[in-house]
Amino acid sequence: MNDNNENIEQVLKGLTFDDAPDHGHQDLLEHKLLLNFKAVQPRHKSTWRIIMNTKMAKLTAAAVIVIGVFVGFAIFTKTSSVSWAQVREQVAAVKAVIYKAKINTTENGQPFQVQIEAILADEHGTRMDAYMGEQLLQRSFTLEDKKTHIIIMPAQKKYIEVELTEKNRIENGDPKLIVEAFLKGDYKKLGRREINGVTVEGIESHDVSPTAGFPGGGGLIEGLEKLSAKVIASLWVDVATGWPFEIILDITDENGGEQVTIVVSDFQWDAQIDPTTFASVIPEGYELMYKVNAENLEEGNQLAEGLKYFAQINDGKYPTKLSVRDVLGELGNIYRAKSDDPSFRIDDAQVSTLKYGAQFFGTLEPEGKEPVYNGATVTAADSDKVLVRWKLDDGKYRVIYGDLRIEDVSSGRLEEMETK
Amino acid sequence: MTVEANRKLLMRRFDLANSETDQDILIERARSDRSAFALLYRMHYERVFRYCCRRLFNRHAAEDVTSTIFFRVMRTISTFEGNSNDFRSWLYRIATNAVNDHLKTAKRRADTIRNTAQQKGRSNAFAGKSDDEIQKNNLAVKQTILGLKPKYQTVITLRYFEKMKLVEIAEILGQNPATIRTQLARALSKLRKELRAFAHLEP
Repeated sequence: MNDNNENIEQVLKGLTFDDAPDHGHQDLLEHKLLLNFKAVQPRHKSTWRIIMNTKMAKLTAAAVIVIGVFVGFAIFTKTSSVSWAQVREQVAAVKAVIYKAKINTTENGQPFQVQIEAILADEHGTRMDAYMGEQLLQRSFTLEDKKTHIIIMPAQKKYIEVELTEKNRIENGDPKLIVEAFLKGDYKKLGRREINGVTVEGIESHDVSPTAGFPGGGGLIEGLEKLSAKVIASLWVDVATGWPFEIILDITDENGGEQVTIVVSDFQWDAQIDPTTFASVIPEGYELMYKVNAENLEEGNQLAEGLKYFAQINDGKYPTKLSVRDVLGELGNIYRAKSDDPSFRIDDAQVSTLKYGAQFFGTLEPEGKEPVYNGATVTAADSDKVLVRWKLDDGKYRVIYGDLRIEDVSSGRLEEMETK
Repeated sequence: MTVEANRKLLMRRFDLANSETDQDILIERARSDRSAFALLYRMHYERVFRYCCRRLFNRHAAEDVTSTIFFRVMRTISTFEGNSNDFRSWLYRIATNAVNDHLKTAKRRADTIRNTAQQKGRSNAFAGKSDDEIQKNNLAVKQTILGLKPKYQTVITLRYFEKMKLVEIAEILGQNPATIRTQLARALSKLRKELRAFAHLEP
């Protein structure tokens, strides 16, 4: 280029710009995008998110859960067989176990595999790492000392923290209950065979629920308990050592259309667990996506807080429907309407609070708790009208009023209010 | 640590932690996975926003166009074929088209030029040496660039503000490097001519 152009180049190179990003705009745009996100079928690989968002997903998630169940089975089973009694005694004394699992399934005809690496230690809790190929999809901990379930999501550099109640811990953290359920059913002996040169002996059961035994709470995965699936499970024990060697689960959905196969192997029974495995649970730099207090959920506080946020940004009106999908859809409409208001900021924590509250509401129906939501007609100004209600174990009803007060009332009182 | 510092730390860690292979996987996942798309968006937001600022010289317009770009990306990512390097070019191509679309209407173009001029007022492009004069020269050059045809603005921005090589620009614009070289020479010539004319108009 000639000298004149070089002069121009110097001028251009010397220009400065007001181009520092405004993270408020960045965050707002992200929310808008995600609220309008429509997944398309991946061409080669599937994802953990897909797993969690589809019916088969829930089967797959359940399948992951069953791994824990079967470890529990291996540890706590009681049978009349002499060889199985030996297995029982040996495994019952185990304080920690490490294993791997491969979960194979298909999603819309596309095969995919998730690998799990799990560590269960009486002293510390449980840790499960889920991989797709070499990529860590999710790491979860159930920490004994902190009574907490933590889910780490590397893709987002975020984590979810769930506080466990004693009730949850008993229901979900004690595999003996699951094993007991297993043993109520029939199983048949499979005889002996060889796996990788090891002589093993096995049993088969068709009576194990794929949703039982989740070490963080069955209610944590929406709708999981609604699943109906056929399970064929087999446990193979090393004849020479008496240790469980391989567990195979075949789970078929209720229509028989799709199948999940899980192979659990590479057991290290009574393993020495490096304490650092359970240290630094939350990697540095990760942000809390949201925190769930189980008692708050059950008491309705979390739902009320989320609804309060929604009403604040929507002129006192609540979501017309209380499913997670509907709530997010309505939030998207509000954000779009407010996109020209520079003072408006999306509160991520409150969105998560509402989302989780709605998810909790969704778990009430399958539990027979007669949930009703009247957001289409009740507003924040309707202080004495029933906005949300559900039945409690003692026969009373928990009511969240239009002004978000929470009260437990008798069925008679509820009827009186609802017929006004 | 401040939120801003946290955010920078997070992004730096992300950059260090993610190889091209990881990014290829991420792009693949972003077609169907909301969280993967969110991550991809966060990785590229700043780059796209800065590019828009350097094309439009106006933050508000840049935000509008950045929004348009990412919605286009979201709608069309299923059609994207290639690896993470190709993705960068593909993103710039969408961004370039969106900026040019934005500037297409005469009114928008006039508004953009006027807004740029109003930032500090007009001035001679080359005469000053003090900070204030340099600032005025800055504005004059930007205003003059905005008066060029979009294709000339594009090559100038990609070459001098985004500091890209000719082959990279050629990849983005779907032309061969020789054509880009010619366009750049013409763009600089036009710019020089306009700046001279601009200087003569100044008091």
